[in-house]
Amino acid sequence: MFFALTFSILASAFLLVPLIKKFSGARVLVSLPAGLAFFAFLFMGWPSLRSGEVITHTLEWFPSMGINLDFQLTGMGFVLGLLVMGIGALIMSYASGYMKGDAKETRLYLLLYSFMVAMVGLAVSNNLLLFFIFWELTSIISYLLVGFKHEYETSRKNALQALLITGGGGIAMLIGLVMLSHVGGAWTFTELTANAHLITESALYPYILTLVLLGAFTKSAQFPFHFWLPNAMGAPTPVSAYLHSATMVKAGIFLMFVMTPILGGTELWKTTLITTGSITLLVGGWFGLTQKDLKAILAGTTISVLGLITFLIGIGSDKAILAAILVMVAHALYKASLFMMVGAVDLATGTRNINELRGLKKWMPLTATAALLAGLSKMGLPPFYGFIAKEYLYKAAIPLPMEWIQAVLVLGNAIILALAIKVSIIPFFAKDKEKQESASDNPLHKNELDWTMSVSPFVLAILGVLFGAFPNLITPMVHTAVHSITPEANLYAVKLWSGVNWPLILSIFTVGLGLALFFSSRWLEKKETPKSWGVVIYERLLEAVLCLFKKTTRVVQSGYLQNYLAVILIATVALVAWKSIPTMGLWVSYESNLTLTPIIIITAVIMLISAFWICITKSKLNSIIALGVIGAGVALLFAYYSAPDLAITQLLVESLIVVMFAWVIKDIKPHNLSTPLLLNSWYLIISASFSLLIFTLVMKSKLVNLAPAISQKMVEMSYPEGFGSNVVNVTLVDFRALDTWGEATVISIAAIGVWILGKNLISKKS
Amino acid sequence: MTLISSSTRVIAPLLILLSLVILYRGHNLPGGGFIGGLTAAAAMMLITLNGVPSKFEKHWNNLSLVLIGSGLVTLFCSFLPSLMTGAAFMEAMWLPTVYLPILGKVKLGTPLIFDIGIYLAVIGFSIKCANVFHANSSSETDH
Repeated sequence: MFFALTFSILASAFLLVPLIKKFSGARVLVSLPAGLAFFAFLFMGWPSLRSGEVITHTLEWFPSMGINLDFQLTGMGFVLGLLVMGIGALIMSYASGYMKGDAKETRLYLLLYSFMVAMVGLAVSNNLLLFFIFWELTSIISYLLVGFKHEYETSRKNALQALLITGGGGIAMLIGLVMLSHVGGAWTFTELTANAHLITESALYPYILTLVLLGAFTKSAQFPFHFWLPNAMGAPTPVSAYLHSATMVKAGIFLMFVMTPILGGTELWKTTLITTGSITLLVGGWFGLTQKDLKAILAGTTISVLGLITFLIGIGSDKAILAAILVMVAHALYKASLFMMVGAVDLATGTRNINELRGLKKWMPLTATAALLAGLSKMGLPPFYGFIAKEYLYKAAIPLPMEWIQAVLVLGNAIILALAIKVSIIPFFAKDKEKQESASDNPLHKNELDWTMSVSPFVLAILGVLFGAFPNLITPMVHTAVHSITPEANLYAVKLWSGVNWPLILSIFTVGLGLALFFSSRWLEKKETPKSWGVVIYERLLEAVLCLFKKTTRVVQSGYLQNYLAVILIATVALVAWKSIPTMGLWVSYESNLTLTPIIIITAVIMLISAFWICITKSKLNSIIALGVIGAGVALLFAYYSAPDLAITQLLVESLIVVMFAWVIKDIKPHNLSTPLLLNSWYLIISASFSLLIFTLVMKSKLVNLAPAISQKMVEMSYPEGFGSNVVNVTLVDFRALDTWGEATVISIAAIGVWILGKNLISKKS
Repeated sequence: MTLISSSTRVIAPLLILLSLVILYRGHNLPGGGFIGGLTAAAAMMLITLNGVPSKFEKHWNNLSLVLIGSGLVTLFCSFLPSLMTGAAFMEAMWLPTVYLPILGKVKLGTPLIFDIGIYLAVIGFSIKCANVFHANSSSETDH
C-alpha cells in the first residue's frame, strides 16, 4: 500500500505534467506530484519506521529462482527517498522557471520524473536484481538528461561518456551481485546481512568486493572515474543540481551504505574505501581550484564531498556512519541550492565565469541571500548544518591511528571552504575594483528572474540553517538510518555546540587554511584545463574498441551475397557431414514406393536443363527465367504428389520473386560475370558438395526414424480437434500457431529492414 | 492505355476477391492466410507496376506498414479469447456452427482471426518489398 501509493503519485506526473503544461498558466504546478509523493512518503513511512515496524511488499517475479520484486523501507532508504522527492519537488518548481519557453520543456519534466521513480525504487528495493534494474535506469535517464541539448556534439559525447563509465561500472556490479547472491545464498539484502559471515569468509570475497565497488565508484565519481562528472555539467542546470550533485551520485554512496553490513568491516574494505575516498577528496578539490566556471567549481567540490563520504563509510565506526549521513544530507541541501543559484546567474548574465561576475546582489537580492546561506553551510560555519556535519566528521576521524588522514581531511575541507567563498560570496558581494567592462555591469535581466528560480534555492538554504540551529528536527531520522546500517550502533546525540574540543580546534584551523587558500586561489586558476589522464585513457580505449569493430565488420560483412552464401553453405556442409556421415555412411540406395511416371521424368529433365542453363548463361534475365522454371517444376512435383498447399505457395512465391527480380535486375552486379559460373571451380566445389549433402540426406531420411513421426498424429487430430480438414492449415493456425506467430513477426521485422535498405539505396542515387 | 493497365483494372479486383475466398476456405480446402495473402500481394504488385492512381499515391507507401501492423495486432487479438476465458494461452476457441444461405456451413473461431492476421502481414510485407524495389528502379530512370 505504502509503496503503491508513493509510486502511483509519482507516476501520475506522466499524465498531469502534459495536462498542466497545456491547460494551466501556473507551470510551477509541475512540482505538485513530487511534493505530494514526498509528504505521502514522509507521513506514512515515518510513524511505522519510528515504531520499529518494517514495511515490506513482495510481488512474485521468478519465484522458482527465488527472485522477486521485494520492496522494503529501511532507515537509510527513507532518508534517500526524502532527499530524492523533497529536492525533486523543489527542482521541478525551479525547472518550471528555468525552462520557460523551451520547446523541449515537457520532455525535461518527464525525464526528471522518470529519474525520480527510478531513484525512489532504488532506495526501497530489497532485492539485488531489482536494485540493479533501478540502478541502470538512473544511468540511462542520466544519459538522456546529460545529452538533453542533443544538437551539440560535445553534449552527446559527454552523455555517452557518463553512460559508458557508469554503465560499465553497472555491469561489473551486476557480476558482483550475482556472485554475492551465489555465495550468500539469497537475493535480498536482509537475508544477505544475516549471512554476512559466509560472504566475508568466502574465497570469492575480494572479487565480489572489487566488482561491487566498481559499480559504486563509477556512479559516485570516485577517483579514477571522477572525470565524467565535470563533463556531465553541460546538462541544463536543473539536471546538474538534481542528478549530479544531490541524488544520482548518491546512489553509489547508498550502495556502499547498504553493503556495509554485508561486505564491510574487513581490512580490504577499510583500506580501499579510505584510500579512494581521501584521494578523491583531494583530486576533486584540486580540480575545483583550477577552474573558473562556476559549475565546474561546484562539480569539483561535489567530487570532494563524495570522496569524503566514501572515506567515512570506509572507517565504518558508529560515529563515522553518523557523520557520513550528516555530510550526505548537508551536502544535498547546500549543493542543490548552489547549483540552482548558478543556473539563475547564468541565465541572468549569460556567463558563469567567476572573474566576470561581481556585485550581483544589487540585481538579485533573493538569490544572493540563498547563495550566502548555502555557501556558509558549505564552508562548515556555525550555526549551519554543514558545521555539524564537519564536526562529526572530525570526531569520527580523530580516533584513527593514521595521522596523515587528519591532515588530508583538514586540507580537503579547507579547499571546499575556499571554493565556497569563491562561488557563493564573490559573485554577489565583492566589488569590482578594476572597473572592467564585465558581464555583471550589464546583465541581460536587471532583476530577479522568475520567482520560482529564487524560491527553491532559498528554501533549501533556509533548511540548512534550520537543521543547523535545531538539529533535533531530523536527528531521529538520521538515527534510524544509522541503525539500519549498523543495528547495534551507539546513537550519538547530534548537537550544534559540544564545547571546546579537538574537532573545534581542527575546524578553526580549517577555516584559517581555507582563507589562505582562497586568497592564493587566483594563481591556481588555469586558462585551459588540460585533459586529465582519466579522460585520455577513456578516449584511447573508446577509439581502440571502435577501430577493432570497424575492422571486424569489414572482414565479416563483405557486402557480396555470394560470399555470405558461401560461408553459410560451407558451414552447413561441414557441420552436417561431420555429425551424420560417421553414423549413416555415404552409400545411398534408392528405396521408395513413389513411382516415376513420364510426367515426372519430363519435369525433372526440364528442371535439369534450366539448372544447367543458369550455370552457363551470361545474361541475368535468362538466369532469372530459368530459376523461375525450376521453381515451377518444384510446384508441379508438389502438386503431383498431392501437396496442393505447398504447390500453390511455391508457384505464387516463384511468380512474385520473378516480378521483384525484374525490378532490381539492373542493380545486380555479380563481380565476376566474365567467367560463366560453371567454370568457376570455387563455386562449383561449394555447390556440388552442398547438393550432394542434401541429396544424401533426402535419400537417407527414409531410413532414419529417430522418433515416431508426429505427422500421422496431426492428420488424425486435424478434424476432431482442429475442426479443419486441411491439415496444413490446421497445423499452421492451430497446432503450431506459436511458430506461425513468430514467423509473422519475423517477416514484419524483415519488412522494416527492406524499407531502410530501400531508403538508403534511393538516397544514395539521388 | 496499354494492355497491362487495362487488364489490371479487371484482374486486380478479381485477384483480391479470389484471395479472400482462398483465405476463408483454407481451413478445409487448399488455401489459407499465407496463400491468400500472396494472391492479394500479386494484385497489389500489378497495381504498383501499372502506376498507382494519383489519389491513392500518398497513402500507398504507408499502406504496407499499416497492413503489417494491423496484421500483428490481429494475430494478438486472436489470443485474447483464450486469455480471457482462462484457457491455455493460444488455445483455439470456436463459435457454434451456423448455416447461412450462400456460404453453407459456417464455423467461426479464433484460428480464422489468426489466419486473417497472417493474410494482412503477408500482403504488407510483399507490397513493402514491391514498393521499395519499384521506387528504386523508377528513381534510376529519373536520374
